[in-house]
Formats: sequence, C-alpha cells, structure tokens
Amino acid sequence: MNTTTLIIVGVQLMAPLALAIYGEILAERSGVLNVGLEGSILFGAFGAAVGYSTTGSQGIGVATAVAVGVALGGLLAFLYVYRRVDQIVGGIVINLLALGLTTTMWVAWQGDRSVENAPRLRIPLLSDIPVIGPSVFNQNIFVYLAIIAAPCTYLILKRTRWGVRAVAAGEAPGALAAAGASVHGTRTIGMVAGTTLAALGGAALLLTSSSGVFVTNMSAGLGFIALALVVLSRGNPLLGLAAAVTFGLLQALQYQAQVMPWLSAVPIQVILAMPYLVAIGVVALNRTARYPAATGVPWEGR
Amino acid sequence: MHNLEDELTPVVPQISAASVRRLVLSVASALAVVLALIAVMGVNPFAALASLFHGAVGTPFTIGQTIVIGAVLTMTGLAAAIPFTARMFNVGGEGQMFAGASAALTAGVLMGDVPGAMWFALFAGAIGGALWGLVPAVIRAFLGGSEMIVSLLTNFVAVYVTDLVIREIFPNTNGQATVPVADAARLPRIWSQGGVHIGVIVALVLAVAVWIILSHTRWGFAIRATGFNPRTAELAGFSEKLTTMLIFSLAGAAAGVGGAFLVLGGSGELSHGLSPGYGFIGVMVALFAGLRPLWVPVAAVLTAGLLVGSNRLQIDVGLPVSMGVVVLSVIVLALLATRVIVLKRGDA
Repeated sequence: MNTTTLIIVGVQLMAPLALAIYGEILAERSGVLNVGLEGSILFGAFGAAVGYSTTGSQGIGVATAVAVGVALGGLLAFLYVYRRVDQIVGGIVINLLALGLTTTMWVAWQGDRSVENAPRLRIPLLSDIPVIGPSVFNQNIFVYLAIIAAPCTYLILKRTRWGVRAVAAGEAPGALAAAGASVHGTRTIGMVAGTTLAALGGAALLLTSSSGVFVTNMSAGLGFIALALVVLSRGNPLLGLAAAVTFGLLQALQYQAQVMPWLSAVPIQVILAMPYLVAIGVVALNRTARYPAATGVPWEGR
Repeated sequence: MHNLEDELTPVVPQISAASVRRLVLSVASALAVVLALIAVMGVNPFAALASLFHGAVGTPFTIGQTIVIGAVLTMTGLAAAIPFTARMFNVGGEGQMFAGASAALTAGVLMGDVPGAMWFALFAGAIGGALWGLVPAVIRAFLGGSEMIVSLLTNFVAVYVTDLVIREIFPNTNGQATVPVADAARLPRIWSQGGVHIGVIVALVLAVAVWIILSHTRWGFAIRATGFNPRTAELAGFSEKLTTMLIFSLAGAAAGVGGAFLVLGGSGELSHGLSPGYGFIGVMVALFAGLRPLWVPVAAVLTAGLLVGSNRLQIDVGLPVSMGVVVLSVIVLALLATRVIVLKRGDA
C-alpha cells in the first residue's frame, strides 16, 4: 500500500465518522447529548441493509437509513426532551437496544444479501491532480457528502434562524424561552438532525464496507470515537471534518501496519487498539473544551 | 432547609397510588412494544413469551444458570451503581470485567495448585478491574475529561488486551481460548445444577459490604455527598480527586471480580465468548435496583432469568439469544419514560 492508497482509504473511512460527528454537534449545540450515537449509526447501517436487500437499490437503502434515523430521533426527543429522561443513562440503554435489536432482526429476516459498494463518482479534471485527485475527487458519494456537509452544518449553526436558536437552547435555554421561542421544539429538531446524520453515517459504513453485508456490531465503537472527537472539535463542524480525516488516516494505517518493518514487532492487538487509545488521549488532553452550558440538562419549562 | 441525609439518597421511589399506576403503565407499554417487535419478526409473540418463561425457570439446570449469571450481574451492577450514587458514569464495566478476567486467569495459571489459590485469583481479578477503572477516574480527577466517554472507550481497549492474553500470552492449542487455570484456583461448586459455585455467596457478601461502605463509613458518606454536590464533599473535607479514584476503584474491582467469576467458575479458561455484554447489562441492573446495593442481587437474578430464558427462544421459536437484551432495554426505557426510575441531578 503506497501513500496515495493510504490517503484514498483514509478519506473513505472518514465519511461515516464525519457524518456522525456533525450529527452529534447539532444535537449537543442545541442542548441534548446523544450518547446513543453508536446505536444511531448501527440502526442506520441496519436500515440501509434492510432497504438494500429488499429492493436491491442503494438509493432506497440510504432512504431507509434516513427514515430509521428520523424515527429514532423522534423517540429520543420524546424521552430526553419531553420526558426528561437522563440522557447518559438513556443513551447507554439505546446502544444496548440497537445492538440487540439489529442482531435479532437480521437473524430473524435471514437478510444476508451482499451489498454492492457505493460507486465511485469521478469528477473530471480535478481527479487528474496527483495524490489529491484520486483521494478526494474520485470517491463515493458519501465522501463528497461528508465534505460538503461540514461548511453547511457550520452555516446552519451560524446563519439560520434554527441554528441561532439551537446555540441559545444549548447555552441559555431560559433566554431562548424568554424570547418566545420553544426550547423543546429547537432541541427536538437538533436531536432528529443528529440521529439522522448518524444513521446516514451508518448507511455510509454499510455501503462502503469491505464485507458488503450487515455484520453484528459493525459500528464497533465508531460512535464513541465520534463522541470524543466532538469534544476535540469544540462543537465546530469544520474542525470535526479535520478530526475525522485524521482518524480515517489513522485507521487506514492499521491495514498497512503489518507490511511496515518498524511496526512488525508490535502486536497486532496494540495496533488495533490505537484509535481507541488516541481517542482516550484526545478526551484527556482537552480540558479546556467544554459542552454548552445546558447540554445534557433537561429543560423544565415549556 | 433540606436534610442532607435525605438529599443524599439519589433515587427516591415512593410507593403511592400514582407510582403504582406509572409502574403498571410502563410494564404494559414495554410488553406491548416487545410483543409488537416479536410479531414484526414473524413470530407468534405469545409463544415467544411462553418460551422465555420456560427457558428461565423450566429446569433445575436453567435455575442454576440464572443464579450463576446473577452473581456476575450483581458485580457489574455494583460497578455501575457505586459511581451513579456519586453522579458519575461508569460505562466501562464490560472492560473492567475483562481486565479482571484476564488478571484472574493470569494469577490462576501462574500460581499453580497451591491451597487458597482461588482467593488470590479472585483478588487479582479485583485488582485488574480496579486498575482498569482508575483510567477514567484519573482522567476525570486530574485532567477534567469526561469519565463517561473515557470509560466507554476503555471497553474496546480491554477487548484487545484480552485478545493478547488469549492469543499470545496463554494460548491453548486451538487459539480460541487460553489454557485453563490450576484446579486450586477454580471456584468450588455448591450446587451441581447449572454449575452454581461459591462465587454466588461471595457476590452476596460483597453486595452487603458495598452497602455498609456506602451507608456506614466516612468514605461512603463522601461518595454520597459527591453525588449531591462535589462542592459539598470538598467542604466536608473530602478531596474530590481522591473520592473520584475511590469510586472508580471500588466499581472496577466489583466488575473485575465478576470477570474472575466467569473464568474461575466456568471452564477455567478465558475466551471472548465469556460475556454477551454483562458489563453493559450491569448498568440496567443498577437502575432496576434503584442504585441500592442490597437490591442489586435481586435485580441481577431477575435480569439473569430473562437472559437465560432467552436461550430457549432459539430452540422454540427461532429467535436469537440477543432478544433477551432487547426485552431488557425496552423495559428500562419504559421505566425511564414513565419516571418509575428517576435519576435526580445532585444540584437540581
């Protein structure tokens, strides 16, 4: 594997992670902490797998994932925003539910039809640039989506009416309520947007996976790593994209580790544990990062 | 003025007509959701429920299995309940459990057949789990990082450490498990059905010990005071850093002993298949028990019954074992949504 291949694979691995990060940023900025991010990704991958194996269409697979994401967001908003369920406890249970339910249903439906990987979309001219060309401009649609979504998410938070309200709902819900806007409504939208983007990340995971089928627990901690990277990116989607690219490259490096002479003495388990260790380091060394003041705290008003 | 002792009880379940109504509502809605899910999967929901019940209490063997798994869940339940009491989140029970299992195995293999090896191996499990639990505690106490996210991530690292122990350090001939521990390190059977071992009694004793520590000692007071408000604990003269580390070493040690049960009470070998997520399920056990240590064993046995019962689903109606976790999660979500289980924020 040469450097160009490394970057191509790394950029490809970035997409599911970046989408989950944007989703978590939208939810957290509006004041809801989605610890069930891991489960949201898994539900999304499962939705995409079901949609694809029943119709054979990747588009319908993605649409199913989005529908699953919206439904899950609605359920979580009901629990966290309206029923004021503790968001960390709720998130832990949602992750368990996602793992149990997707495993059970996949076995019950015997859906094991292989997914065709999302096709590469070559962008003329730009893809001829050395290194950058093949790694960025000859990728699958999820990579483009993840790149374009970063400035979009940024602008949504900065420039739209909902975005401004979301930031207020996360920092000072009392002020937002006093201004006559609905804290619950704003957070519900943030929650639904969050799980939907994470589910889209799950669809990306499935439709670009090497196995091509839904696998039990295929998210494998990606959602938890995304939670750590949201801390690192301080709620800024552009930094989130940069963090996701870095992590994508780190994961791509794993595939190459065994052919690199200076790494061959290191046990494979240590190399496989690297992304999680780095994520722990990220959380440990970001003491200045903080969640918005009211994130995770249910709004008691109306 | 509030009475501090009252405030320090984080979960206040009051038995009133309203709470009974909420309980009935939550159980009914959980049941409805579970039945609907089973029907969606193309299985007769009532046949599935009957199978679940028979699977749990059908034979002495399954009752024995329920008790054995209940002992493990008691330990992982305590691992979640102790930090919850201090408003901290230990979601690393699974990793601490595997760290404990790896440590217990190492001790059990290396010590050989010396008398009392079992106690040393159990202790090694506690130490292994406690060390694993200290990672999120140190990061929270000294660097201000989120103990919740870090403890989640340590689970994945533990999986690879366990894999290292299985494949590189003590591999058996087929590479899927380790060599077994010495006979002296195994937990003696106290009932032949389902392999009920002495760990069941150890778990009960430890649950009582945790209750005594939390409600009758200085440090237990510190832990509960931290749950009320970390500032209160500081003002009462307890270092927040030390308390955090104490909480997580106790929690990690509990989960580690649970991991030791899995190795020393079963085949004596360590393998990845030992746990279908007992560490995570411990969080639900802690919630069912209302975070009260003495109720944790009761909640653990009921939870274990459901998990053992779901083994039967495969044979009877063709649903995989993972259905048990689905039923559990739906019940917990219903209990949370109907506010039967309420976690109050300390400063709210």
